[in-house]
Amino acid sequence: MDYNKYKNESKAQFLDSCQESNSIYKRHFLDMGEEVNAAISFADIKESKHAIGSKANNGFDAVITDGDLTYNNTEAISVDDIAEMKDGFYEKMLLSGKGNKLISMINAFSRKVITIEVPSRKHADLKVLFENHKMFSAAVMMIKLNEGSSIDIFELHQSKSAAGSVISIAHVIEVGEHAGGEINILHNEEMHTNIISLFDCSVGKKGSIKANLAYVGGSKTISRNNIKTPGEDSNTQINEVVVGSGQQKFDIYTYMENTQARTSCCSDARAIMAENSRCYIKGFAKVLKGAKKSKSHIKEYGIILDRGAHIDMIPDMSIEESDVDATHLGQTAPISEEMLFYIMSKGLNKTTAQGLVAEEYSSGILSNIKDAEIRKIIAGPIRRKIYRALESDVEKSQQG
Amino acid sequence: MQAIEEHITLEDGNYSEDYGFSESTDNYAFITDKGINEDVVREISKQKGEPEWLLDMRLNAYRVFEGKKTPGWGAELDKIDFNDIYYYLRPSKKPKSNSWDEVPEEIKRTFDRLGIPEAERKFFGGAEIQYDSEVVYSSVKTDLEKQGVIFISTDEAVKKHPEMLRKYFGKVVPPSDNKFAALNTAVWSGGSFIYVPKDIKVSMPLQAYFRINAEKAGQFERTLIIADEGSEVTYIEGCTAPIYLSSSLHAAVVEIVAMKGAHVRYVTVQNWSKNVYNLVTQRAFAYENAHMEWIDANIGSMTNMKYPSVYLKGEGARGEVLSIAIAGKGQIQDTGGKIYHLANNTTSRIVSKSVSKDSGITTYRGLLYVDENASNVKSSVRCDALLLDENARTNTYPYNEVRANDAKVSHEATLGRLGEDQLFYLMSRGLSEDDSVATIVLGFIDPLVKVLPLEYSVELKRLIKLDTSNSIG
Repeated sequence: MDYNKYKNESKAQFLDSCQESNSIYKRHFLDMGEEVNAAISFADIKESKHAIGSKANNGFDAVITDGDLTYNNTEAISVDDIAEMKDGFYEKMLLSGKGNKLISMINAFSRKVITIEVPSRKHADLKVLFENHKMFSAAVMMIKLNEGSSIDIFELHQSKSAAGSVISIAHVIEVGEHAGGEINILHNEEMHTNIISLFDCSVGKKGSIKANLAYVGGSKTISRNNIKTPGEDSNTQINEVVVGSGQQKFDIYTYMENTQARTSCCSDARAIMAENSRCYIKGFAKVLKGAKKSKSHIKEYGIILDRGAHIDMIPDMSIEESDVDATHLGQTAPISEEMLFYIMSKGLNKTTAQGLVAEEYSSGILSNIKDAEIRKIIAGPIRRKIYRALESDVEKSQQG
Repeated sequence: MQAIEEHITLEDGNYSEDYGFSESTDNYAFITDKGINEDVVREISKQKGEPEWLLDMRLNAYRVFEGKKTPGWGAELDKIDFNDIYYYLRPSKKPKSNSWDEVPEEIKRTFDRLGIPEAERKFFGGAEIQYDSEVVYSSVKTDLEKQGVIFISTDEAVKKHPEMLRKYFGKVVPPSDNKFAALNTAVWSGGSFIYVPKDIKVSMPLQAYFRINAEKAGQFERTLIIADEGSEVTYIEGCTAPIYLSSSLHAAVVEIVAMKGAHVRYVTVQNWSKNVYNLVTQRAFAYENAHMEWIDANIGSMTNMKYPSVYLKGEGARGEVLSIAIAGKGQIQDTGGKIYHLANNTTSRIVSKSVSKDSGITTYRGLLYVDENASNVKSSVRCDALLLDENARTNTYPYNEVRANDAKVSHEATLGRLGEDQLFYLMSRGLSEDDSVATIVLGFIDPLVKVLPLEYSVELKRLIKLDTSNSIG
C-alpha cells in the first residue's frame, strides 16, 4: 500500500466512523465532533513557529513541536516521515483505525512518527516536552521496549495555540518480554485547547508497564487507554488524576484486558472537580477466557468541590474466566467535614484545609511516580489549580 | 428427516401432557389474532369494555411501540417475533371468582402441578392469581376491606376506581419510557391494583402468582400500587411457567407510588421457564420520608432484563434494591437497579448478588443519579458475582452520575469463584457435590434471602438448590 492510499483510506475511516461506537457509553461521552471539524480545516497548514523547541531545551531530552521532533539530545528517539514507512505500517494503522474515529483521525492527519526504541537489556531515561502552536496537530509516538529493556519517561504537554485548537497524540507502546517501563505524562495545555490522547499498550511475557497520567489543562479532554496483556505473567498499572475547574470537560476511559494467564491489570483514577467542570471516568476490565489466576482491579474516586461540577463514574467488568481475582470500586464523596474540622483546629483556614485534603487525594496517584523530581513537577500545577479553584469559591461567596 | 421431527414433536407433546406442561389455546374464550396492530389493540379494549381515555392511551402507546427500536444495549432481543405472539387470551370459564372453590377445576389442576407449597395456599384467600392474561381468582380478606385496602385486578380497577386509576396509571412509567413499556401499555391485561389508605399498615403480605400458560402467549400484566401517607404494604409476586417449544414474551409494568412516610416492599421471585423473554419495567416514586424496597430474585427465563428503579422525590426518602440473579445454561440474567436522588437527605442502597454456571451470563446494570439540587445524599452500591464453573460469565456495568458536591456515593464489586477447598471441606463432611455447591451458593446469597418472608425464602432456597444442581441443569 502506498502513502496516498493510506491517507485516503484513513480519511474515509475517519469520516465513516462515529466517536463513540460502544453502546454502553452512548450517554456518557464527550462529543468533540464540532471542535475537531473546525480544527481539521487547519490541518494542512504546514508552517509552525517552533518557538520553544528551536531555542531551548529547558532540561528536556527532546522537544516535539506540533507533531515534529525539533530538539533531540538522545539516541533513543528518532523521527520518520509517515510517507516513508514500510513493513506493513499502513496496514497495521488502518486496522487499528477501523471503526474508531479518534485513531483514524490521527492516522489521517499525522505526518511524522516519533519513535522511541530501547535496545535489549538497556535502560533509557527521557524527559520530553510536547509543544503545540497550531490549530490542529496530530502526533504518533511509538515506544518499543525490546526484550529485557526498561524506560522511564516524563512527558510534559503544553500549548500556545489559539482558542478552539485541537491537539491529538497517539502513543503506541510495545513492551517486550521481561521489559518494563514507567511513563509519566502531565497534560498542562492552555484552558482553551482541546486534547485527544490515545494510549495503546501491549505488554509481552513477564513485561510490565506503569503509566501515571495527570490532566490539568485543556478545555475538552478525551483520553482513551487501551491496555492488553498478550504475554503471560505481565503486569500493567494505569493511574490517572484529573483536576477540573471552570467549564473544563474530561472524558477518561481505560480499557484493560487480561489476555493471558497470570496477568495483572490495575487502574486507579481520581477526579477533583471544581466550579462547573465535568468528568466522565470510565474503566472497563475485561478478563478473557483462559486468563487464569489473573488479577483485575479498577478503582475510581471523585471529589466534587462545587455545586456546578459533576462526575459520572462507570467502572465496568466483563469476566469470562472464573479463576480470577477481580474487583472494582467507585466512590464519590465531599471532603469529610470531620477531617476539615481537625485541620482547621490546627489553625489553618478552610480553603487551606480543603486544599490540603484535595492535594493529598491526588498524591495517592502521584506517589506511584518513583522519581521525586518528576513527582514534584507534576504536583505543582495540580496544587496551583486546586487552590485557585478553592480561592475562586471564596471570592464568589464573598461577592455573593 | 420429517418423520424424526414429527416423532420429536409428538414425544414433546406427550411429555408435556403427562406432566401438565402443555395446554392448547382451545380452552380460551377469546384470543386475539397473533401479532399486533391497531385493530388488536382496539379489540382488547373492546373486549374489556374500557372507557375511551384508556383506549386512546393504548393506541398512543402502540404508536410509541411501533416507533421505537428494540434496545440494542443489553441482551440479544432481535429474535423476538412480535407477530408470532398472542396479545390477549381470556380463559373460557368465569373470569373472576371470589373463592377458591369457584376457580375452574382445570385451572386449579394447573396450580397443583406448579407445586405451590401448602404454606402459600393459606394465603390464597388474600391473593390474586393470574392465569394467562386474566385474573381468575380474586378476593380480599375481610379485615383488609374493613381497613379500606383495595386489592383487585387492574381491569376491575378500571371500572370500580376509574378516577384513581386515571390519576396514576402511566404516570410513573409512561409509554414513552421504553419499547416494552409502550407495548405493555398498548396491550396490558390483568395485574394488580392496590391502594392502601393513610396510616394503614397491612401486616400480611399481599401475594399474586403469575404464570404464562399458552404457547406463544405473551403476558402483559400491569400492576399499580398506591401507598397513601404513613401506610405500609408488602406485595409479593412469584412467577412460574411451563416449558414450551417456542419463545414466549413477558413484558410487565409495575408502577408504585409511596406517599409521604409510606413503606412499600415489592418482592419478586421470578422463575419463568427457560424459553421466556422477561422484559419488565418496575418503577416507584417515593415522596417525603417514604421507604421503597424492591427485592428481586431472578432464577428463571431465557433472557431477563429487569432494573427496578426508585425516584426519590421527597426529602428523606429511602430506596433499596436487593437483587439475586442465577444464570444457568443458555440463560442471560441482565438485572440491576436504578436510583434517582432528586431531593435532599435521600438515601439508597443497591445490593446485587449473582451466580453463573454453565454458559449462563449474569450482568449487573445499574444507574445511580444524584441531582445537583439534592444535598446530603448517601448511596451505596454493592454487587458480588460468583462463577460456578469455567464456562460461566459475568459483566458489571454500573453508571454513577453525581451532580451534587456533598453526595456520598460508593460502588463496590467483587468476583469470586467456587472454591475447591470449600467444596472439598463440605464433601469431606459427607455432602454430595451438588449439595456442597448449593450450600455455598445459598451462603453467598444468604444476606438477601434473609429479608424475604419465611415461606418465600424456603421456596427460593429450594429453587436455587434445584437450579444449581447438575441433575437439573
